[in-house]
Parts: sequence; C-alpha cells; structure tokens
Amino acid sequence: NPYAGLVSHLRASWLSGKTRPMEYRIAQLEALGRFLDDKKQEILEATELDMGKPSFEAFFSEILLCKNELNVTLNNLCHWMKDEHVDKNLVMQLDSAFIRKDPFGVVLIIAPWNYPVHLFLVPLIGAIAAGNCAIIKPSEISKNTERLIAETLGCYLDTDCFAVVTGGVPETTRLLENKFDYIFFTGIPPVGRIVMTAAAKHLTPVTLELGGKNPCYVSDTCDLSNVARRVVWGRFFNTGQTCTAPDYLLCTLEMQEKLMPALREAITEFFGPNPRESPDFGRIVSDKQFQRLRALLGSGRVAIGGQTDEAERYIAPTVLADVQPSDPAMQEEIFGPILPIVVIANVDEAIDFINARPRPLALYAFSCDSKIVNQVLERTSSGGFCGNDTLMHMTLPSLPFGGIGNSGMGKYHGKFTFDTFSHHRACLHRNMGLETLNTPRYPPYTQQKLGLLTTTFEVKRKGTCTLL
Amino acid sequence: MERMQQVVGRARAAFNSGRSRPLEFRIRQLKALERMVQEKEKEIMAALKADLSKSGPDAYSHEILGVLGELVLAMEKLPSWAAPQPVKKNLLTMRDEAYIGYEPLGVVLVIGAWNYPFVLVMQPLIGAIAAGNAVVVKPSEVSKNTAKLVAELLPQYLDKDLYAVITGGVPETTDLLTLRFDHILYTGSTAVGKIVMAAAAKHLTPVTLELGGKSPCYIDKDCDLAVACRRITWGKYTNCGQTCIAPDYILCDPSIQGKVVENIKATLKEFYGEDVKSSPDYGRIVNKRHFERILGLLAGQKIAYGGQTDEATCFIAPTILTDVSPESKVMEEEIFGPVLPIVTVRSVDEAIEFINLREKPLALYVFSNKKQLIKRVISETSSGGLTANDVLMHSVLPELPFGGVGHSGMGAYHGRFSFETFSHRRACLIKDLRWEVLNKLRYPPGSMEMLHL
Repeated sequence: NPYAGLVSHLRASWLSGKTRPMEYRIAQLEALGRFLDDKKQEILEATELDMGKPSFEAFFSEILLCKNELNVTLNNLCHWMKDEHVDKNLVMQLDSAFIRKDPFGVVLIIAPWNYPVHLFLVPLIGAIAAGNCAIIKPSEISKNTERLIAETLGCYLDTDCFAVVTGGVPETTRLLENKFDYIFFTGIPPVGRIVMTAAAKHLTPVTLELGGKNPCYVSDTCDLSNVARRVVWGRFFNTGQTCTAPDYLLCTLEMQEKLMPALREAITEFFGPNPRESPDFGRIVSDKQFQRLRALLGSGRVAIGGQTDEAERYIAPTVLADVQPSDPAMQEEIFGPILPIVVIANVDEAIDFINARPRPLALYAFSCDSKIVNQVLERTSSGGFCGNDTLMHMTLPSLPFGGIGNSGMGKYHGKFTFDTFSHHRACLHRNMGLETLNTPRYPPYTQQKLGLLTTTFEVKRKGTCTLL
Repeated sequence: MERMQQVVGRARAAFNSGRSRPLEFRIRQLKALERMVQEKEKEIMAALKADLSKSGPDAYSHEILGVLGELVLAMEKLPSWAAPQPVKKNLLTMRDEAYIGYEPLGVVLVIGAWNYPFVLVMQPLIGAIAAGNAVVVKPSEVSKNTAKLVAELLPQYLDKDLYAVITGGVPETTDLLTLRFDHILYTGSTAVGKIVMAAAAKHLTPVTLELGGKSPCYIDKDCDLAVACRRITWGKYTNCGQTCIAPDYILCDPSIQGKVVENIKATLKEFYGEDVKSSPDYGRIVNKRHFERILGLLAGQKIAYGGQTDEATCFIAPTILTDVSPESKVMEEEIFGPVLPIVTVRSVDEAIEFINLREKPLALYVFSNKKQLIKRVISETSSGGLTANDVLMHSVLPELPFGGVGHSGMGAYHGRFSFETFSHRRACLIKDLRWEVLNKLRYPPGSMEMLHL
C-alpha cells in the first residue's frame, strides 16, 4: 500500500489535535488566500496550457469565486463552529442540549480537470474550516495545473496535515484502498460508483458531485436575444467543459428557427467572426476528449459552427439543429462546445422528455411567463434549477450545490461545505441532581409511572381552531 | 424476486403519479398511521412481547410513545419543514428569487432491526412519508411477529401502492438491494452496513446507516456514584441490553470499581427484585444464536455479579464483569446483551486515549461533577451522540439528530432530521429575462478591469 505511510502520517497529525483550534484553521485558510494571490499568474498560465482557458474565465472561476468562498468562510467560521443549542422538552429544562460540529478526521478530495483549482480548493476550504486533515488528488489530465498544485501548495499549507497526491487511475485506485473519514469526489458517474464502492469497505461517507445532461427548455414566449446570450454564455464557457452547462435545448420547431439567428449573433458578439482567434474561447483539454466530441458533430445538422482543428484541439462554438433523441449527441454528457437542439411540441412534452431521463445536475427553463418557469420547476427534479439564466445558481454561496440520483449526492458551497465536512454530534449534558424526575422511567413498571412518563414526554398536538 | 420488482415498480409508478406531493395527502397518511398505532396498540404490544419478552410499560414507552410523538411533530411541523427557504442574495442576484426547495427523493427503502422492531421501521417511515416519498419497508425477520404485524397493518391504513412492506431474510434482502432506490435507511450491524452501502453504490443511491459499536461509559471519581449507577443500570439492562446506544462497557478508576459494582447490584435489586428471572420487567435475548454468542463472551471473565443463564428461555441474568482485559473477546465486539464489563483506567487522559484508539462509537457517556472534565471528553473524542451524566437520553429529544460516525454509521434522523434525510434540497434561482445590462459584465469579450468592480 504505497500511500499507507502518508495516510498514517496525516492521521497522527489529526490525532494530535492541531487542526482543531479555530486559530489554526483560520491561519491555514488565510494561507490558501495567499496561495491564490501569489500564484494567480501561474494559475492563469497553467489552465491556459491545459485547456486554453481564457484568462477572464480563469480569473472568474479559479480565483474570484474561490476567494469569495474563502471570505464567506473566514467571516463566518466562528459562528459556524459554535455549538447549536436546541429546544428541550419538559424534563430537560435544566440540561444543556446542543449539536457539536466535530471534524471527521482525514479526508480525501478528488478533483477533476475542468476547473482544476476551484474544484479542489472550494471543498478544501470546507474541510479545513471543519477542522480536518486532507489529501488532495488533483486531476492528471490538467497536468500543468496538477504540477503547480503539487509543487506549490505545500509552501502555503501545513504539510503535516495537508498533502497532495498526483497520478492517474492506478494511483487513485491504490489511494482509495486506504481508510478515509470522508471522501469528496467530483467527476463522472461511473467513477462515482467506483469511489462509493471503495468507500463502502471502510464505511466512509461520501459527497459525489457528478454530472449528466442538463436540459434547457426555451418556451415560445421569451426575449430571444437575452435568452440566446445567456444560453451561449453558459454553454461555451470553458469551451463547454462545465458540469452545469446547458447540455441541450428543448424548444418548438418554430422557436428553433427564431432562436438560430439570435444564437449566431450572440456567438459573434462574444467571440467575433472567427472564434478560433478570440482570446475568450478555449480549447478541448485532451486528444481523447477532442475525438469524442468530434464524433458527436454528426448528430442532427450543423446549423452554426462545426469547424474543428485537431492540432489545436479546437472545436468551434457549434449548434446542432433537429437532433433526434437517438443521436449520439443525446447519449452522453456533451462536455464540449456543442449545443444540440431537440424539437418538442410543447412544455408538457419537454417535461416528459426530461423526466424520462436520469435526473440532471442542473435544469434550465427560459420564459417570459413565470408560470411556465414554475411549471418546469415543479414537475421535474434536478440537483439545482435556474430560471431564465444558466450557471448562476452556482455562484451564490447561500445556495447548496449538488446533484441527485445519477448526478450525485451531498452538496457544498458556503456553509454547506463546512457542514459536509463536519459530523453533527448530538450532545446532552444533564444534571446529576433531580433524580426523582427520572423515577417514572425505572422498573418496576407501573401504569401510574407510564402515565407520568407519557405526560412529560408526549408531544401534544396543538388544538385545531374551529371557527364557529 | 419478481414479486419484489412488481411491488417496487408499483411504488415508483405511484410516486410518479404525483399524489404524494401535496402536503394534505402526506398529513392524511400520517394521521392514518396515528390511528393505526392507537387502534392496534394491543396487537403491537403483543408482537413485541412475543418477539422480545418486552413488558407492557417498557414496550409502550420505547416503541409506542416515541412513534406517537414523531407523528404529532411531523403533522404539526410539515408545512414549515416543507416550505421553500429563501436565501441570502448577493449584488448580482438582488432582483432575483433565490431559495432552497424541499423535494421528495422518490422511492426509498427502510430496513429495520429486530431490537426495537416497531419504532425502527416506524420512525424512518414517518420521515419518508412526510418528505413525500414512496416507501418500501423491510422489517427484520428476526423479530418475526412484529414483521408479520407490520406487513398486515400498513396496507390496512396507508395507500397500498405508495407504501409497501416486503418481508424476508438475508436472501430476500440481498435481492431487494439489487433494485434501484432513491435512498436507503438501514439500521443494523456494521458488517451488513458495508454490504448495504456497496449495493447502493451500484445505483448511486445515497444511504443513511444506523449501525453500532461499543459505546463507552466513563465514570469519574468525582460524581454521585449512586445516581450515576442507577442511570447506567437502567440504560444497560433495558431491553436486556439489546439497545444500540446502551452503555457497552465502563471505564473507571480501580479505586471505585468495587463501589460501582455495589451500586449497580443495589439498583438491580430495586428494579427487578430478588429474583430477576421472575420480574415481568426484565426481557430475554431475542434468539438462541445471540444467546450463545453472549454466553461465549463470559468465558474466562471475572463475574462480579450475575452470570446465571437459562437456555430454554434465552435468559441471561444482569451480569457485571470486573478487571476486564482490553484484549478479551468481550471487549472486541458490541455486546448487545446484559453483560457489563468494567475496564479500569487511571485517569481521564487514559480513558480518552482508550476511546480514541477504537472505532468511533454510536454513543458516548461520561459521568462527572466536573464541568471541565465533561467538556474535555466531548472535545477530545468523537461519537455519533453523547449524553453526560445520564445514558440514552440524547436520542429522545427530536431536536437532536440521531446517527453515527465512522463505523457507527453515517447520516442521521429523528424529527426534522428525518424529513431532511428523505428530501432533496434543490437550489432554485429564478431570474428575470430583462435587466440584461447587468449580465454584460460577465460576457466576452472579457476585460480584466471589469472583474475588479
């Protein structure tokens, strides 16, 4: 077991108790902040090398959003760490009943390649805030960022408590043989299953942030150019390599026709007439992903874009029209700059289409009629939902971010990350006196004692008010 | 297997019909459950007596009172639990609607245990119904009378398609676990917990596992020993020790070991009389297999009190073992019986170290007059839950989550926590299609200056 030494070193640090004081946690979190500040340029460069990530985007997702999470945590940590006192019943009035937030111990964070800093750092913020030690396993696919993290994170964080492990599938498999007290995984569903199965051997609780095909319904009544811009932004951000990107559009035939020029206009507005030359449009992360995506271009018909360049791993912002549910583009999560449009007759058909498929991480509905937006919301299920925009529900730290069913389990962001990495321990500190109050519960049992017990423990239904 | 698939398929179709979504429907189902518990009280108590020799008042207070309480709480609070929770917005979302919506998960599976066979299926069922799910209940086959009763009663009171009972043992449960559920709540042993989680992993089904372990009970020299021992005696020997949060073993200074034994002995006489075997308030071991298992733990031990057994009735007298070695068999597995080992430690530091060297327990107990000592034990250990200066009681307050950590489990329920366990918290952001000007900040062509606003 090649990682046994590392894990037991971290476990020893954990048992020493050094990660528990608030001052320690704050110091580590502030160090993370300095990491983001000092290494900003390197992060922008590494992610550009890895997937042509535009600097603007990299700054937004890898630095700005991370710093937001850091500040929310630093501002509130003292409050989050406090014992939560709860309401008591009659017999416990003199007792202290509260929920204590205990760290789990040594946690494992496995991050993917598409937002390679954000997706290890934001979970790590919660793990540190909750008082844990952590092993971070960045993705080997975003290899420049992986190297940066492995070489520099240790200069900021306490290496007795926080370690980076690099490698691919074999290394991750060996790492998962060890016992962790929590595993936080972001990636695809098949690997999510493998992680949960490995976790089951040690009864390790998990959060799985997975994916799927995020439907985007566009109703007939909507502001065409605003819809187009918001959809284009969400679809082509990070060259489509976003777990919450609108994966495919559902609209009527009429809407497809109307929307096309608006989509074209938005793409041109954002990336210019030749997106290949735009500094704001990225590239596909690897040859394997490039080839996978290129094969999807045969679905439906290419209405916008479709150009590719293998050497650069460039795929133009593409919209496919008249895509059939049986087409390749509708069989897997796209995770690229391709937007298929599937034509449906009306909102009911759209809802049936969505509900016939695995529950997605995100669901989008666009309409000027709020009743339609609400209908889609109420009659479907998804990790999160955004009406009349894309991606934005992820940027509010007060909203939980997570999936359901195939798109995952658990949630994080803001306080939810702290809660994810804490064990909520029920604590009752009773009075040693007043022993007579306990008599009804002791044998020998009598009906009288039972009556007393019932009176003191019963939750009485409040009387219903009857109007005369 | 085919029958199982049909039952689960019907539950799913019933869930998809949407009829469990309106709160009024859920409350009606809960009200029906309440009627069931009230009308069938005699039958429920009879089943508990047949399965575990549980006495009337014991059965009532542990299994019926708690269930009625949860039902009343759920019916009362459901509207507030289920209400969308608005969240704090930022500058960019100021004009939007941002909230967390509570939604049912779908078809959930509740697997019960045999030691509190009624409440351990009912309490999760209440939460699952309140959250709007369809539920498949698999009561423990070991407590077969209660299982049979639950299978008969639920369809008489609840929507037959949405809420189903499947009975059976290990082979049936194994088959059931190959089917897809949207959440599984399992109460039982650590070993089977791993099997349940591994099966759930195949479908990416989230799980709540209420497992067990050895719940330590540290008695400080500075405490009212008589009171402490009475409370411990109650918690240990109720249900004949077959309680997941029973104090499993005692840790105390050797100088008070003798007094602890004396106090527990005195309390036992107070509770069960001179002849414990003839007390109607003392239970029996659930079956021969467990009887033999517990008997095996006594081998080679110094029995300070008790030790009498009667195989025919699965009777094991309340037993105390002293000077127990940490390496002995009785200190390896969860006892789940009326045998109380005392392991001596010389200080609270030693006690804390002892506890932390072992798997995290479901419950932890500490008795002391010193507030500081109690605070230390809480801060330097971890456990599912904890009660100081008493035992079991943290589990009766519905405002406190009930669950384990590490080998003692994951997730929690009771009260509002049951509702949340069986709900999906869906992040909802509803924006306006207008006000596009605010969005221009984020669109390409990007400018770094724009971001610093």
